[in-house]
Amino acid sequence: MAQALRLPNFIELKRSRQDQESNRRQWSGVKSLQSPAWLKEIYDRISDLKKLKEDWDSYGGLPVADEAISRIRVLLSNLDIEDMPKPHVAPLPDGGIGLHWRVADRDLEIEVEPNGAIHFLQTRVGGDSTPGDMRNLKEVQEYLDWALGK
Amino acid sequence: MHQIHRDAEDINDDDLLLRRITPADHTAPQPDGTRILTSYAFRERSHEFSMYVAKEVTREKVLSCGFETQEVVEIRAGDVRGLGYMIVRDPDNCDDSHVFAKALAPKSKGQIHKDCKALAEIVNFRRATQA
Repeated sequence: MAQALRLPNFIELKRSRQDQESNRRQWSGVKSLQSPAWLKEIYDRISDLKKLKEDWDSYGGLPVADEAISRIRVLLSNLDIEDMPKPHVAPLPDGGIGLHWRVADRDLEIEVEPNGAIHFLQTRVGGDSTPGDMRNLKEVQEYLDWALGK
Repeated sequence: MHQIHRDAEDINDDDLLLRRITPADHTAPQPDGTRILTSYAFRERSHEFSMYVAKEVTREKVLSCGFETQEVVEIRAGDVRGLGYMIVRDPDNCDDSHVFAKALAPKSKGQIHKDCKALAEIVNFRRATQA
């Protein structure tokens, strides 16, 4: 027996397209869901820092603290960093972790202490530096935006 | 007991001081392929940073007291003093030329961070102008 010709269900097809469009609009403004290509590499680097033993710097540096690792992961996963270049990640001698960006003449160092406290150093290359504390994600975001010249 | 430290008068401002760094941790790669020193290169737990007097020791000797992955950077004693530090002699297990920079007056963490950045930028500037 000949098979019946199967036509697409145009009503369902239209509904499906409407759902996709609605979904796209709903999430397109949430930048933090867009991960930069370098993020996995940076997470791997942060994990590697956990292997450092005391005196890793030959000056008595402490191992990186778990609290600093978890805090910096939370930071990176909640900030709008899609347009940022890859940061340089460094262990700090007190057990903290530092992130460093230089974009043209704007230089930004963000440090997470072993207890999770966050500090920054904002520098114009060839000019003065300003140190300070960061109390929330919004403040961190503002300095990242400054580094990008936004 | 509170220890009194003195600036080493026999170390001139033009004398070079050597410091071990770990390039993977203390230098940041740039888009043009060069690497720049970050403030982390001068940071220590004690907030005083160790160096060796270049005229009294070889780079090889300084490196021999660290790790294979380390390198040496140099900074003028006058640059360190100019930021408000004295250079204190402190012979250590590695070499008698060991010194450390100690702030003349108490400094906040943020100020020390700023000073370390200034030293790193001096090294970067000299490297760039010598290249």
